[in-house]
Amino acid sequence: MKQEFENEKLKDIFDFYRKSILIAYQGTFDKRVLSVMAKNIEVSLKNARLSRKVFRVFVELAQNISYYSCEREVHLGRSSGTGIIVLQEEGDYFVFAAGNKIETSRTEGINKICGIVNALDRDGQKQFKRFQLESPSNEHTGLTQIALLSAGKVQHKIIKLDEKGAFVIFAVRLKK
Amino acid sequence: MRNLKIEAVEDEFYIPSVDFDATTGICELSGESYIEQTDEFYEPLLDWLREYMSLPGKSITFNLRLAYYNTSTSKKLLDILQLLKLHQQKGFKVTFNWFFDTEDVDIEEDIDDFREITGLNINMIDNSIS
Repeated sequence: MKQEFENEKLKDIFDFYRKSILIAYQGTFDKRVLSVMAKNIEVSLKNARLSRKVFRVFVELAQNISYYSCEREVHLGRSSGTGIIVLQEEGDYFVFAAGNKIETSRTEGINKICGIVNALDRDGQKQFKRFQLESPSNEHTGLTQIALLSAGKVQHKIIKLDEKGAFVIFAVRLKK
Repeated sequence: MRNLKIEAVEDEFYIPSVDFDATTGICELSGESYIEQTDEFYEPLLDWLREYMSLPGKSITFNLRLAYYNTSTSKKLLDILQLLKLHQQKGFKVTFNWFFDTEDVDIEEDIDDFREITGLNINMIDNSIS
């Protein structure tokens, strides 16, 4: 049955409901926020295997925003990045989308890593993760881990905002 | 040498608990580890292990009971394992027990990674019987 809405905001909420959005958050990804959202995932999914995977992917995506977003807030002396994350159910899948602003200088590295990870099969991704674990930098190991956890590809899109900044969005699907 | 004890803090986004005993050489790391500033938390643990290993004739039993951890923590776990492997190569007894839910295939894969990288024997022990 078609619904009429006097206000677009009311329609947005109804759309969220119909799209089975489990989590939608935009703001600072400090540890208090992460803790509440992570706990919500942990208790709301009944299947232990699935709950573990969703929880792990969520943490990697959320901490990626917290570490690497160039829009930052300081709370109690700790700097955390701001960004957006959405988790929704889509048929047989959980779908994550996460985005944050980055400095333009980081776009090449992200394109490169996503290209490498998505071109590898599972064994290749495992080898690549081992290589990353042994390297001094911690950057992008989380993206490889997300690909391994989801047994799929990490889709991404970089949207140029201006000369200095861009907005990066990662999306990943997790089979139920 | 002093023991090292840290209580787990769940509200602080999962800081694990630490119980390193300098008398028995039994080191326990348990809970969940989603710390962002891993250097700040894990470097004192690594320093403690280095100091303990510098004492004469010290064997180590390391019991790991982390149900959840992020990739930043994985790198620190690798540092611990590499340190233990080094101790073993010097002729000291090192036992590494990893307690986990054996249905958790992601942790099992991580254990394979750590074994392959370090060459250290890791005993996989089902949590339900620990």
